[in-house]
Parts: sequence; structure tokens; C-alpha cells
Amino acid sequence: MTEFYAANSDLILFAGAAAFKTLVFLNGVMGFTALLTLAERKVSALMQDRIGPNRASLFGLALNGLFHPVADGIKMVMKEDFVPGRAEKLLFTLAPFFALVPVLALFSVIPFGDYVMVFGYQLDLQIADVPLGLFLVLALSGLAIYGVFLGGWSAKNNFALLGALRGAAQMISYEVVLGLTLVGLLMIFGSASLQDIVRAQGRLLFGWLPAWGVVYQPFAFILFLVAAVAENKRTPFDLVEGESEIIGYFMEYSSMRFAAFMFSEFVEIILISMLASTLFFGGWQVPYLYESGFILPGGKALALNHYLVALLQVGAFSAKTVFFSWFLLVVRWTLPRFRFDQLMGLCWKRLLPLALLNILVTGAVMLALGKV
Amino acid sequence: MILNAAIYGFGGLAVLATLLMIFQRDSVKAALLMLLALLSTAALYLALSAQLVAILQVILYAGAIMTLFIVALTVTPAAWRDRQPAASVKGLLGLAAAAVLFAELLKAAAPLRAVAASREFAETGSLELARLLFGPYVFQFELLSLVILAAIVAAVALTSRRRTAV
Amino acid sequence: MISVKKVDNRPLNWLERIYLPEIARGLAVTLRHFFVNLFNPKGMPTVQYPEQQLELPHAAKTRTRHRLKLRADNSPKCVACFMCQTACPAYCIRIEAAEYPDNAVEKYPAVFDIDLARCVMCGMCVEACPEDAIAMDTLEIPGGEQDRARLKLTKEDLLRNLPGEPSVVGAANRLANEYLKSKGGA
Repeated sequence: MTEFYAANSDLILFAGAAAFKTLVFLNGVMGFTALLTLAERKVSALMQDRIGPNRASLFGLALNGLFHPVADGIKMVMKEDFVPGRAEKLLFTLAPFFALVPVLALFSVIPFGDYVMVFGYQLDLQIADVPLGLFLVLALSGLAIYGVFLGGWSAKNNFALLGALRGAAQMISYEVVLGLTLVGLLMIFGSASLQDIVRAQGRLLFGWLPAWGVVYQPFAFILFLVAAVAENKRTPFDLVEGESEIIGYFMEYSSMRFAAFMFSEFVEIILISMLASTLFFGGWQVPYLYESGFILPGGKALALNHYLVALLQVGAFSAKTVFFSWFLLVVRWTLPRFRFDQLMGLCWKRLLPLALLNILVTGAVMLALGKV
Repeated sequence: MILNAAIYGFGGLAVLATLLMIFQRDSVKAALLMLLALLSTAALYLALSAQLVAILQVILYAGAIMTLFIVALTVTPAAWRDRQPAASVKGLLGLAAAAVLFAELLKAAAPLRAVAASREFAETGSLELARLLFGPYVFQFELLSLVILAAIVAAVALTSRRRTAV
Repeated sequence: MISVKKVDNRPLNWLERIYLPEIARGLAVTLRHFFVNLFNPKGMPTVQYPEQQLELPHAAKTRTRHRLKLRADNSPKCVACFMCQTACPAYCIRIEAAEYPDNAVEKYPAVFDIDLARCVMCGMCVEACPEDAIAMDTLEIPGGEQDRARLKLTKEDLLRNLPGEPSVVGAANRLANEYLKSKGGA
């Protein structure tokens, strides 16, 4: 047995570290998701001159509504779990998993920090540094369609099926744009590993401008944001659900199964925020912060402890994620919904040609600058 | 050891899913079993350290093509029937055709046994693939895109009708 | 003659068709509200209802929580005629009638329950009452309870006069009062 440990100590250490990182990171994401459900109600309330939920209390302590996610969770668990008589039982059960699992799996490739030295072991602050991480993002987000579609079809309800058809059409279309907007980044950074992309964004342009993706590709960032919100199926692209009048794909779902769909939507918000900050806003990079500490463009330097630097970087990544999550909430509560023909027209007639044009211009500029 | 286990495990899963798909009467469920077969094949590629092929398999086959299949199948009347009709002579014919295909596949795969599989876990094959695609094979590659363009134009021409009434 | 309103649906101009400036304009409005309310929560018009209540105008049209009026001798004006229970569209009134031992003219309600959880505050019961015995003028807004049972009003909750109002109005009341007085008061 000791021989086995000695022979595979690298592997065991790697697996243990990966399991630990997964546990910490996913729990952080889940906790943030729960808070995001509250934040959605609070942000929308403030935007509409309301106060928002503030009544759920524990031992008489309301804390301005901090316990509402807990109350929602308990309520969801206690509700009746209803399955329609004609539904395909197995697929009806599987559909929420299809919606949630690919999204959760995607967090494995997101780098949330550089690395920390723990007892001489270099702990990368990323669950899995996949060389083709960017493609993995596209692959798994494509699988999320099945959750929508199976949820709509397996309930054997015409309205749910119509919602699922809208969802499939919308998600397949915007998937294409999402993929094409990222091609420009691939060309500039020359790597599909998200950690490499973030490291490359630590450089400075002209000696003072952080070389973030948004500096190279401001246009692609807007296209990415639009396509990502459409993938997320929230207003202004919420024709899949259309909660106010047209009925969506999970209309027959109740209890925790419904909550899984709802939860996956909020997890997707976090995922989009993390991807946007990783690809376009430097991920965990803090401007002018290097491994040894701050080095300002003027030449001034401030040496910092290794752990402090790592903490600052993880904090910067969290702050960027929170900011984009908030921004997506604000967008969701500001814009009205598209009509379906407008939605398809926007995708195929505007965003897709623009994304292709972006690739062309990026290639031309790189060729002109001799960076190929 | 772990890689071998993964190869046999996912290979077995792919075979099982395919068999179940053939004997599944409900068309949508059959398509979902095919999705399972495609995904386990992707995992098989991954275990054989062909990352790019594995991810392209998921993006193209599982993410795009199977989605369209399933969307098309669910709106057919057969997908809404509670009880599927019993297998007919057509089913037997299909099975016979499948047997012929299977035999041919086995025959075609026989020479592959001689090729030694690489035991190492390669980093990524995307760079070599890109060099080949945009180097010696660039003409054929671009020709293929022309074929796809022709297909798109044909599809649009088939579906769009002249709008006279306004 | 149908009045027709001409809507000027001009086509969007180029800037509006690329959406982004208009989105920015919309975001500016919502963000202004968001930040103003975030830093000045007292400025919001919200009333924290059960703890904090607004002063209501004492107008005849204001329908608030019910009450059952009392006569000068503190007996209920209600004669348990079931008019309000019949008129109630929400079926929230439950009456059980009983007879005075010494009064052959009228009955009284032994039970008079109003389930405020079902009441729609329509005021039909007030309209239907021939005795002017039920009123909705307490200026209390029901609701905001943690427990459904607490929304059920019994006769004891309902019976009360407003300050300065031992009511003796109405022919039937006068008759009843005179009858009771002739019996030596009750």
C-alpha cells in the first residue's frame, strides 16, 4: 500500500488538491447564487422605487431580508412535486439535471487566481487548466439546450413544447455568435487555455494601458455580452420563458425541479460574469500588480507578500464577477422583450455578420502589424 | 491503468447506448440514446488524448446536430403517441441492414489493429491539425466551405417563397 | 362616432436601430433610480404596512374593517336576518341566530363570524342590512397577519360603537328599544 502511495504521490496530491478546490469554489459559487436570487429582487425593487423583500426573519432578526434565499429554499422543498400524467417520467426527471450540470461543470475551467504556494506545493487557483478551455466552454454551453428542450417536450404539454422550440431556436442561433465573437480573442492571445489568456492580459500596452481583452476587442465584448444574455434566456431575450404572458418550457414543473431550472439561470449569470471578466477584463489581474507587488508605470514599486498578492488577485476576480452580475441584473430589469422575429433578425442579420467582420478586421490588423 | 479503464468503460457505454437506440421504438428516446453514444464516444476520444476531436464532437454532433434532430423528431406525431406501434417487417429489414453495415465496419476496422496506439497523453493536437488544414490541404478545405455555402443557399431557396401578398 | 387617434409610428432612425444608445439612455434612467434609492432609502414612498399605517380620510366611500353597531343598551342592532350572509359574494359571513328569551319580535346573532381572509371589501353586506347594523367605517385596514386564524373576526371582535355613537337610529331600533324598555330594560 505504501508503495502505491509512493509511486502515485503526485497523482494523489493532484486529485486531493483538485477535490479541495472544487469544494471551495463550487460552494462559493452556490452561495453567491443564493445571494443573487435575493439581489435580483432587491436590485429590481430599488430600480422601481420599492424596498423589496425584507420580512423573513430568524429569531426576530430580519437583516433587511438576508434570510429570504433560505426561506425560498425551504418553500421549494416543501412544495408538492407534481408530475403530469402523460409526461415521460424519466426524461421529466432528467431535464433539470441537463439544465444545471453543464453549467456547473463549466466552472472547472475558470481561473479565479494565479497560484498559491502551500508548504512548497504550487496550488493553481483553477480547478482544471484545460488547454482547450475556451472550446470546452462552447461545448458544454451547447449541451445546456437539452435541459430546455427535454423539459418542454417530456411534460407533453403543447405550450411547454412551443416554449422549448423557441428556446432551441434561440439558443442554437446565439451559440453561433457566441463562438464567433471569441475567435478574435483566440487570434490575439494565441491560446485557448483560459489561464494563458488571463496571464497574457497582465502585460501593459504603451507602458501604461493594461492589455485587457476589451482593449483589443471592444466590439467583440459587446457582441459577446449580447449573445451571452441571449444564451442565458433572460429579458430582453426571455421568449423561451416569457413569464408575463407567453408560457415557457418549464410550465409543468414544480417544487425543486422548477427550482433547478431557476437556479441554473442564476448560475449562468455568474458564469457569464466570470467569463466576461476572464476573457475581456483581465480575470484575476489587478492593473500594475505583479508577483512581487505593485510596479506603477512611473517606476515606483511597492513590494508585497506573496499571499497578499494572491488575495488581492482573487479579490479582484470576485469584485469583477460581482460587478458584471449586478450589471446583468440591471440590464434584465431595464430592457423590454424582443419580438421573436426581431430576436432572430438580430442574431442572423446583425450580430453574425458583425462577428465575422470583427474576425476579418482583427486578422487584417494583425497582418498589418506583423503579429502573425 | 486509469486510461485503459476509461477507454473500455466509455467504449462499452457507447456500444450499449447504440444497441439500446436500435431497439428503442420511441423515436425521441432513440435520439437521446444516440446522444449518449455520441457523448461517450467524445469521452473515448478524450481518453485517447484527442482533446480537439473530443470537444468538436461535443460542439458539432451533440450540441448542434443532435439538437436539430431532436427538435425535428419531437414535433412529429409519433413523438406524441402514448403507445408506440409494434415492430413490423420494416424493423426486421432495418436490423438486417444494420447487420450488413456492422459486418462491413468490422472488416474495415481490422487493419487498424496493426496500428500501435500511442500510450502518452498528448498536450493538444490542434496546432498540428491547423498546420495540415491550412498548409498542404488548404485548397480542399476551402473547396469544402464552398460546398457548404452552396448547401446554405439551396436551403434558403427551398424554404423561402416569393412574397406576393402584402 | 368612433374617435381615432393617429399614432405617429415613424420608422426608427439609424442610431435607434443599432439599439445601443437607446439602451444606454434606458440604463441611465434605471441606474439613477437605483443609486438615488440606494443612498437615500428614506425617500421611497413605501409604507411598512402593518407596523406603519397611513391616516385614512373619513369619507363615506372608504370601506375599511367591519363592525357591528350597538344600541344604546349595548345589545347588538343585528337581528340575524341573514341578509348580509346572502348578499356576500365571497361567502365570508357566518351567522347563527338565537332568540331572546323574553323577546318575541326579533332574534339576535349567537355567532357572527367574518373571515377577513375571504372578504373582498365590497360593502354588499352594508348595503343589504335592513337594520343599519353592520358598517365598514372603523378606518382599520385588515390583513398583514402571520396566522390565518387571526383574520377570522368573531362577534366579540365586531361589536363596538365608534366614540360618541350609542346609535338609536332607525324605526326597527326604536320599536325594539321601546319594547325592551317596556319589559323593564335588558
